[in-house]
Parts: sequence; C-alpha cells; structure tokens
Amino acid sequence: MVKKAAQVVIATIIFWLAWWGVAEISNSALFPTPWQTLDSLWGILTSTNAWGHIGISTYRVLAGVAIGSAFGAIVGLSTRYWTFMAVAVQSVIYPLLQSVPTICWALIFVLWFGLADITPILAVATSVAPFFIINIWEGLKELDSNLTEMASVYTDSRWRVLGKVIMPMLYPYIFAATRSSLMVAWKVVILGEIFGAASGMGYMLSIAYGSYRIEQVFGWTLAFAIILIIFDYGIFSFIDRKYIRKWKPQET
Amino acid sequence: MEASGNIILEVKNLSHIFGTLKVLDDISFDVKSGEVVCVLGPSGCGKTTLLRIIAGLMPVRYGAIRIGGGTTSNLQDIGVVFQEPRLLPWRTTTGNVVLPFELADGKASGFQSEIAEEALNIVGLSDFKESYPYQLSGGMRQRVSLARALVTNPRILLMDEPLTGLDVTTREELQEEIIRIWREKKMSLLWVTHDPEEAVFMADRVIVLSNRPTTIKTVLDIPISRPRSRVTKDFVAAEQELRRLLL
Repeated sequence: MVKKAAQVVIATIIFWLAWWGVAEISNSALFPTPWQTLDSLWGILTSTNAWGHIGISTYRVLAGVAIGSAFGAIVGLSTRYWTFMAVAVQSVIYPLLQSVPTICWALIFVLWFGLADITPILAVATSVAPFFIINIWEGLKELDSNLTEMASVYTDSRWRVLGKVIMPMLYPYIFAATRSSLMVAWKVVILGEIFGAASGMGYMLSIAYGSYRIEQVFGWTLAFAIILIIFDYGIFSFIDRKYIRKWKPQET
Repeated sequence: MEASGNIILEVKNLSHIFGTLKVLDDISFDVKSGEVVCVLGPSGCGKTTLLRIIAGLMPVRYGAIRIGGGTTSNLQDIGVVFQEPRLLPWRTTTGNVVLPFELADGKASGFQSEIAEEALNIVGLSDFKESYPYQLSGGMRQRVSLARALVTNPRILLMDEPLTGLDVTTREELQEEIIRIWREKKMSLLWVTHDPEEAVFMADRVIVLSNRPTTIKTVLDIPISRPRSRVTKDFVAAEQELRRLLL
C-alpha cells in the first residue's frame, strides 16, 4: 500500500518534470511550462465566471448521462421481455448508435436546436446510450436463471423478481456502464460546447483558442483533467469498494 | 411417525412430455401431513422434473396436482430447497433468508425479520447473520437455503437432492438436523434423491421410480423407529432392498 502510494508520487513527479523539460527545450510561446499553466489555472479558478462554466458543463454531463442511461437501460431491459426488441437492438439500434460518430450527432443537434443546453445534452445521451444497452445485454446473458427460478417460487410478480433479483444482478454492469460513460460524456460535452454552446468549459476553451491564448487552453485542459480524475478515482473507486466489491471474494 | 392421515400433497395420473420424449408416465401418489416421502430413482429418470412440476415451476401437462386441498400451489404451502443453494451473492445470510417475504409482500416486516432470525437459529447459523455467501462453506450455504425455505412456515418442503454436492460428513450431519427440524415443525417432506442410504435414513415411505419413461416401480415403507442408526440390520436390509430395486 505504501509502496504503491510512493510509485504514484514518483510517476506524477516524472510527468511534471518531463512536461517542464519539453517546455524549456522548445522554449516556445506555444508550449507553456507547468508553472505558467498552474498560474493560468489559478487565474481561471479565481475568476468570477469560471465556476459557472464548470457548473454548466457538469450539469450537461449529468443530464446527458441521465437521459442516455435511462434510454439505454429501458432498451436493454426490453430485450428480456420482448423478443422483437432483442432483434431490433441487435440489428438496428445498437449498430446505429455505435457507428455514427458523436460529431455527426452534435452537428445535427446544433442544426435542430441551435446553441441551447439541449444540444450538448443530447450529444452526450446518444454517445453514452450504447454503453448501457451493451452492458445490460451482457448482464442479462450472464443472468443466473437458477436465481430467478428460485424467486418465482415465492412470487408471481415479474416486477418483484425484476426489482429484487434481476436489477441487483445487473448493478455491477450498470455501474461499469456509468463509469465509462461519464468519462466519454465529459469529452463529448467539451467537444459539443466548442461549437454548439455559448457557455461551459468547451466554450471557454474555444474562446481561449480563438484569441491564441495558449496558456488559457492549457489551464482549462488541466482543470478538465483534474475534474475527470476526481470523478473517476474519487467517486467511482469509492462506490466500487464500498458497495460493489463488498460481497465478492477479494483477489489478494 | 406423526402422520395424522390428512393429505397435504396429491399427485394424480401425472405425465409429462418433452417434445416427443415421454419423461413421466402416469405418476400417482400422495404425501400425508407430517410424513417424509422420498422419491428415489436413477439419474436422468425425471425425478427433478416431477419435483419442479409439483413446485409450480413447470406447468402440469397431463394429470393433476393438489396441494393442501387446493389445486394451485399456494405460496404459503410449499417451500423448496434446490440442489444448489441459490443464494443472492450480494445479500448477507439474513438478507437471503428474508427474501421470500420481500418477494411476496414487497418488504419484510419487523415480525418477519424475527421469524428469519429464528430460522437462522434453527439451522445453527446465528453467528453468521452478516456473512456473505462467498464467506460460507457449502454446507453452511445449504443451511441458509434451508432457513429461507422454512421462513414461510410451509406445510410441505420440497427437496431436490439438497445434499448431493456435499461431502459425506456434512451430508449426514445435515440429514440428522433436517430430521430434527422436521420433528419440531411437524411439516411434511418430499425428498428427491438418487441415494438409497439417504432414502432409508430420511423416509417413512420411499417411492422408487423406474427408468424413462418414468413410472412408479414400487413403494416401500420404512418402518424403522427414529432416531435411526445407519448400521442396524433393518437399516442395511432396507438399503439393500432399495439398491436391488434400482438395478
């Protein structure tokens, strides 16, 4: 444990040193050093409107994932109860969602809705829905029919079996889908905001880009990376350890 | 023998077909209140199918089944213990044992939680209430599954080779405990097995099935007084007789 922590510190230091080294060697105004970037990040975080933009991006990410996960979950679960949906998902819905590039969805939504909140939100929703469809699909395939049969001894209600047995069995799959989809959602939101919104972190990035303020671009990029790391390593690792791994044998 | 005469389970002219394969052919028997009936048959003879039909997990195709006087399996009347424990791995021992209440009523009441605790005491797992299934041994898992089947206070417990996966010591220990619980609870047991020794130890009556298409070959009473010892002459003789019938 201590050893691992030390390795994390060493790896982080090497990263910063490498960045610093390359910036110094290139000696270019287009490659800010870590210090310039941190300075710019500090300026961003202490400016009056920065947290508003971070907040609005976070809201779009969460709203998009909420819509995408609800849609994906309903479509994924419907395959268990309705054979037609199993075929439709396999042959139309999933391939379509999976193959159309996110940027195409984003462009279409900009044309439809203009520079509104709904544009990046729908771009996120369409790009994360396949994660939920495929994970729930996989989960349902692995479903232990012995357990659902046992449950049917005690109830005739399909809803109760769904709520008490099937959904809990799918939680690890839904959790995995949520985790990977949030990672993707952040990236999609930034992209969507660059040309499809008048607020948010992506919008600020595009302003910094448009005015050639490279240290601002670096600063926002770093802020973005930090938020993602907090989301994934902080929140999700915590939930994983506390609720998902608890009932599973430990590997070590 | 506690048999008081009234019939808990009645199987009448039951037949079953998988596609063109006839698995059960005109099976009729009944189980009286407080009676232990074993269904003994070679593997693949359809005895599990028979139990699943009785448990309401498969439809009755030909014939009829009456449980506790009614034609449908009332949830309160039967409990099922499967060959595998079938525990929910994300629930603790207690969580697994209250599951029947949650499935039947949506939520377990305080009183029902007490019943679950008591069932865990009965099967000797009061020290493992907060354990997860992966932390328990095979025998303990099957005890949890037995406790789960007991909480609804069923009039008849359907057992589908519940001890088959366990080692001999654990198996004999659980056979004795299940007999003790059976006497305490005064319920009926319908116990499917392929093991003649188990049948002699458990049963008041053994229904011997033939190979497919399965018919009842014979019904053998086991009039040995309880507690039974596995080494008495009567016990060994009955076991030999069952082995001979299975050939």
